Amino acid sequence: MAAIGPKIYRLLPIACCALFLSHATAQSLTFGLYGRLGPDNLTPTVEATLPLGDLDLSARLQRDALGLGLGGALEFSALGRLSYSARVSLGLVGWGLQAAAGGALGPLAANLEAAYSNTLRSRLWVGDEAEGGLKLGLGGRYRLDPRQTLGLQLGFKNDLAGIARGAAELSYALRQEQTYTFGLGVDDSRLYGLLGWRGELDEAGTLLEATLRAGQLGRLEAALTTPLDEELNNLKLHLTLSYPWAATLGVEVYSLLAEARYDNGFSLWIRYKLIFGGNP
Amino acid sequence: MKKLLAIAVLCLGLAMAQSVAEITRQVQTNMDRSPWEATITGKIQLPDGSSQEAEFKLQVIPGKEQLARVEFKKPAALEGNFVVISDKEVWNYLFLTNQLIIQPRAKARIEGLGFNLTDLGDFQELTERLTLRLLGEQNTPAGAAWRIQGTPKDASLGFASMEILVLKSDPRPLAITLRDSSNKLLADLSFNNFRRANLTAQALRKRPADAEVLRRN
Repeated sequence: MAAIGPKIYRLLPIACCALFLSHATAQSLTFGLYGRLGPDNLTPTVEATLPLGDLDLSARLQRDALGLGLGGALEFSALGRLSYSARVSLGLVGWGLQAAAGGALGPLAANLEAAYSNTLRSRLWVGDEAEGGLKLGLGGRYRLDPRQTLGLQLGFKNDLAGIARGAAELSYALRQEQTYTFGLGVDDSRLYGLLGWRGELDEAGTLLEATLRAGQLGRLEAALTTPLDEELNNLKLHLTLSYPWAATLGVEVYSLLAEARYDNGFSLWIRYKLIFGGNP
Repeated sequence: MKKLLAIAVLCLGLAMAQSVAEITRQVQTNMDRSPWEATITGKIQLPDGSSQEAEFKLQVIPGKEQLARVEFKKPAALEGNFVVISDKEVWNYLFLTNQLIIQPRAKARIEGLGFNLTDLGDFQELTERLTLRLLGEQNTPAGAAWRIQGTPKDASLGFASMEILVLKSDPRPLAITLRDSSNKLLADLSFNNFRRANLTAQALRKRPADAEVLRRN
């Protein structure tokens, strides 16, 4: 009994979520199960979004932690949009805050993100990175003309051990039938080059995007997406391989999302998403 | 004599009003006959007040399941962006962020562009929200055209007056001019390369498969 007591207590966030949902009409609900090889590393996950006037309230829960977020956007139709969001996460092991803003207007797109947590963010939400402390990110894209786009990403991290790291990446994308991307970056004083390709493979609109970062660090990202119907359902496969060794393999089909990951240990996360509401 | 004149003016007024209604009906029947596409070019005013060259392709499938797609070519900053308008919802695709924003039709207004793009594909809906007056006829390179003026019945359309040229021989819009309350030009657009086309809903809804889909209520 003594062992069961704390376990029930740790599932409280999930119960809170059920209560939250029973009093509200959610717009989307995602149920998941995350497991990582090792003791005590299995948790259910629940994500919910709920319209609140012009804002969107979001909740995400897992064993030992819950997060609440609020986001909104100003839409300018084909001219662009501005979005903003904030989230607070609370868990038995710590807390975290995150704020983001982004937008595109005419030829310019920019996004800004700031996060702080006093524990690893992955312990507050299994989908987040296994890093804690302060994280700042700034990204921008500028269209030189209809075919050419410049991109800039800047990042700064100051982790829980007080170690600061900076990152910067400059890229140039040329769109012809396909899009070719070239770039240079530096991440924690490791230099790398960037090569990217994105294009449709067939009439049905199957799209492949691959990006390789190689140099003093290595990372290959590839995503293949095929539209399945006119209801915006897709089959999406994505793969990330990086050195120092880490890998992710993901599949999304209709409402099902599965992701297998190796990052100092194997993990698997399977989710099922339900969409409700007046705007199907 | 004065009474006769008044009756004559009234009759003339009624005849003009009827003919505007008749022209509108003819345009609607003609546009609803089959799917069509046109290139729309001209000038539009941007939110910052500057005037920009505009060019976009308009594709329309009329009928019960009406669908329209507006694809931007100019201004260059908007090239690749498109809007898909159905009865229920409006899709906005932003090239630069690869996002597809889906909104209910009723909410998907365009602030700052001077007019609502969602009205362009539905002539009947547009004319129902305007008080129309036939100004006369005009010769254009495409042939003789009616000049019709429209004044919005309420302020929600985003412009104060509209003038539209309708081709007589094949009743369809040739040009459209929108002005604000201080008579400043908001949009001056002409319909070119009009043609009947074999359009499908699938083609009009085409989008990059990997676009991030964002639903807004």
